[in-house]
Amino acid sequence: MRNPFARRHPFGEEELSSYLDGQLSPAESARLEEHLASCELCGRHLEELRAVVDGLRALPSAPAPRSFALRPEQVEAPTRRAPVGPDAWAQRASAFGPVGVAAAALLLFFVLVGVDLGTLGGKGAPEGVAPAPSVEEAYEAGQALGAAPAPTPAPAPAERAATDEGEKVGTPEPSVGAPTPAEAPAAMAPPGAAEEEGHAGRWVLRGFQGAAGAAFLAAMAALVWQRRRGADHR
Amino acid sequence: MHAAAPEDSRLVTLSQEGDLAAFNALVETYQRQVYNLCWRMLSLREAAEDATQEAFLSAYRNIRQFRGPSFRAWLLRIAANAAIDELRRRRRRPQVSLEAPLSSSETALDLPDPSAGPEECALRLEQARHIRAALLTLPPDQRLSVILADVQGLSYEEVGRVMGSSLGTVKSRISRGRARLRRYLLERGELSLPGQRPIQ
Repeated sequence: MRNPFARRHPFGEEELSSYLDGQLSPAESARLEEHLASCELCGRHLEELRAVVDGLRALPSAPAPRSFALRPEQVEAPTRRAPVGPDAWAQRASAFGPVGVAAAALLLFFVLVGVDLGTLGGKGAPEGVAPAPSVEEAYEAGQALGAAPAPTPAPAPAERAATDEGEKVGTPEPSVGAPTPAEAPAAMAPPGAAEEEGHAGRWVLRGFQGAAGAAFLAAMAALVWQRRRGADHR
Repeated sequence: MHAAAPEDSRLVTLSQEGDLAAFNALVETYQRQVYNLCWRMLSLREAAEDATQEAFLSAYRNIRQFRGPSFRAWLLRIAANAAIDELRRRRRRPQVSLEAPLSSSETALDLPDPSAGPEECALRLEQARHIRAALLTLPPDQRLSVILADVQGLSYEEVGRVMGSSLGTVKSRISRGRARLRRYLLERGELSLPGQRPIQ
């Protein structure tokens, strides 16, 4: 719901400014003029904006202090200042040259390949085992599955050891992601060795990615700093 | 309002073929406007001269990329980029603060038409000084929009072409810029209308 002020004064700065420049449609202009006829506040606001615009328009145009005509030697001499052409950003990007492009490609490669490998082996989760369900999923599954709990995977070695020692591990909650009996053999393969290998590989990979990223950022920062210094000492 | 003049087109074509004399004829035509844009953006004569020279040099080097329709809009876009770069460069190495009170040598350029009486002259000069100080408080995009539309008299479409922005964005930047100027001048008591209490 709009606030009472906005209801009483439905025209904002943008409408008033556009009205001064004749940018409102005839219908909008008529509505605004009707409102102005009865609203002193908006009328004064408009006059103040008009005074600002008049003041800006009255600023004199200074003559050029000298001729800016280019001399042949200026045109031929290479400039070290930052590019200011219509596509200045593209020029700035290309100024980093092949080194920058190669570094960016390398980083992209590591990120993409790293993500891919991480997905394949990083989790240590064999195919067929679904990720842990959320609380909501588990609740819904419990409701749906009713009293018949789905088969649960065999406990991990650590859990088995704890059970053997008599500690109460607790009964696992019925799991939504638990494999169906048909899937069970593959899904319930002991994860032990493969999981550890996957974990180690993932951390090596993450470390490598981190180092590559840090090296890339350091190289880019050094390049920017060097170029800026060059531009300032031109 | 300002389509590419036939003379501009001929000179642009010659410049694209490497004719420096033809390009310098374009410089003569537009140097006042380019210089004024840079000066209003930067408010320092020396900085404005640097940006103007850089803009023409860059325009000459990139003129083969110009495809039309308006050479003036294309050139003013380069000048705006040069002014914004100069602004950033000076902010990194502030020898003279761009927000400092304007010196008499800078305000001297705002001297109005001498045919106006001395009192009128003094009043306009004072008003110009406040407006220039207010302009310096605007963010660069709003400052550029307001300068192009209100000081240089470009249409909204031309401002959009210079800034590479849509009409809606131009409208919004101009109105926000004007609103900020209004507030700035009101807070300093420079905009109260006769017989009225200013709106806050």
